[in-house]
Amino acid sequence: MKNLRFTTLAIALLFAGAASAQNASDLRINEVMVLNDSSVVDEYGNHVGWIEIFNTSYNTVNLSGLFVTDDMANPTKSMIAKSAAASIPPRSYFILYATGNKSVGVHHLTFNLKNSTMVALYDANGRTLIDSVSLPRLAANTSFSRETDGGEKWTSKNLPTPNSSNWFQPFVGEVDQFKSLDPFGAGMAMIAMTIVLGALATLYVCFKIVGKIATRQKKAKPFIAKNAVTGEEASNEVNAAIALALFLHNKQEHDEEYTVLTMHKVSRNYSPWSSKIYGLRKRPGGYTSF
Amino acid sequence: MEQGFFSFVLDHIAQFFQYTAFANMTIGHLVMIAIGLVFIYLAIAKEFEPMLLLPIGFGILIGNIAFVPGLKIGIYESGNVLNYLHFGVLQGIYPPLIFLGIGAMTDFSALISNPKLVLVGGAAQLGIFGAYAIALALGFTSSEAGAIGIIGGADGPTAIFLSSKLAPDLMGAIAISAYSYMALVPVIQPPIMKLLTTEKERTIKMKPPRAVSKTERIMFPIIGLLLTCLLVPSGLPLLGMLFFGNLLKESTVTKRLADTARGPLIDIVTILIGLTVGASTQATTFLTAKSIGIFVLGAISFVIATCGGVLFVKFFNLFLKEGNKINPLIGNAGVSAVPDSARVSEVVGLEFDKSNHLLMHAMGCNVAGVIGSAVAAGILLSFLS
Repeated sequence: MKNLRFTTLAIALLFAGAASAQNASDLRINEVMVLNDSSVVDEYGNHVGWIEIFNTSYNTVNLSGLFVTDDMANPTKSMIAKSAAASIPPRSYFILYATGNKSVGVHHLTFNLKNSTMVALYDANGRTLIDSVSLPRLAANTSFSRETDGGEKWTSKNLPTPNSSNWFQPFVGEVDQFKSLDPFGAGMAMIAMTIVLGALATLYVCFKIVGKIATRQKKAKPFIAKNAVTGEEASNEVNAAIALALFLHNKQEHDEEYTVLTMHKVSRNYSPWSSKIYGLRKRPGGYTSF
Repeated sequence: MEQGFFSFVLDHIAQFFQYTAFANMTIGHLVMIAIGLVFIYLAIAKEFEPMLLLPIGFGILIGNIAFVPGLKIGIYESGNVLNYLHFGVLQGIYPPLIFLGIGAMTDFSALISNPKLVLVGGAAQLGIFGAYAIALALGFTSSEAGAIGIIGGADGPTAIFLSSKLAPDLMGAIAISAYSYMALVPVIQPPIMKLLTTEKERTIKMKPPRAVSKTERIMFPIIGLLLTCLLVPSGLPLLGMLFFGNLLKESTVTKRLADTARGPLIDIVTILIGLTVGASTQATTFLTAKSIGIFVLGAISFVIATCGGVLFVKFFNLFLKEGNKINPLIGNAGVSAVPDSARVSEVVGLEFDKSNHLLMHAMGCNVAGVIGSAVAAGILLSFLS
């Protein structure tokens, strides 16, 4: 029985240790800036070198008690203060400022990076190396970072991305993107002509059906009368007569000629100002029954 | 004392001279004034689109009287009436109002009676996208190329509407180019039509259109709006107003509203849009290499549009039975330019057969072109804005 308890406790501790180690091992040094003149400032408003830690896991990881160093011979050079604030949410970032002062906060290291050629992150035991990176010579405000968060390839970049994704892509507007994908306009022509013809073809089909229904219902007749002269038979004289008739119709209305009767449709548009309805008075009680 | 008085008078005359247009005139202003005078001449003497070319031509004169900046008299200076009137162009207010009037004065019967003509109106929009592609190749941005391409739609209000949204800086040149080529439709189109058709095709006689019932005419704007705008909502300002105006006309119960839309309203807006578009062509903003490029592209787009319409009819005829075939001479009318391009079809048709009247059929393609160009503008707007 005693053996069983001991075994259970040992397994539990083993798993707890393994879990802790597994969590810390998900951390990566993601980006480093050695000389900071104009990049991000710490909570005191100072420009100092910084190290960005990225949590590659989908669990929250606490950095309390982990060690950061720029000297492999001294892995416990700076310990991250034990605090609930030292937690990194899943797939998030944590900035450590290389202030060089002791006890100024959980985000601060006790060394600065001015002469550093590498940085490393050690587990809480001070022996297990979690991650390290050798630093090239970097110009001021230039960071050394992984190309993608937690990725293998490192690069120097003039536009540092502290507390945000390292994958930086310049903004390209939709219109510019459209042009880059369709530099000759052929795609636009195909898409737009398809839509235009599609819209108008729909209209065609619709009115083809409507026309058929209307023709069946009303047996509509063509504009020209049945006994009219068709185009093929029309002579120049007929065309001249039609033209003359149209001319007379458009230009002359015969109003001043005797013996010619012209009928004009007199339109009377309704208006409340001229309506008799509003002009008539009702006789008191005339239409009311008591 | 006396000498002092004269020097005072002379000084102030000299000072006044500095404020006159003579002192501030440049070669560019003179060139633009000459262009304005040509427009006025074409409008009055040749009757080329006088309703538009006259206000635009006079607007060009107004816009190119040189002045000292800061007096709040230029169209681009806030605080004067021209600037306020120009607001309607910049914000795309006038073109939909013109479409309202066009809808109220357009009879879609020819199109309803032969709905396959609507496809010709679609095919002629090829000019828009041909010019778009060439403009891209010449180094214009996508938005500028779209605004330039719409010249091929041969529809002034649509060109102004789209360019005010996509390339406001080029709007003056685009509008002038569109209206100029619309006026030159009788010159540009006939050679292309003759070149692309055979003698036999030119004498095809089309069936006379059937009578269209009132119900069909009322249904057209409602169905037309729903079908086109459900597919291309960005065409709503133009198509919505066009079909609304047409419903006012065809319903016959809103005669007064229809009369206002197709009469006083469209006249007022035409005056304002013509004058302000003309006045916006100040030499300093108008006489640029881009403007020349726009004029060249405008001509190309008209040619492509005409070719597209005529060739589409020829292609379409391959699938139509004898007796139902379409005369390809009405293909040119697929560009908007109402009703000039339809008149061109009639005139060219009569050249080859004195008894072959194509006007009614061409009007069907013509009004389909108005719808097609508005749909195309909506597509360009949705992709490029």
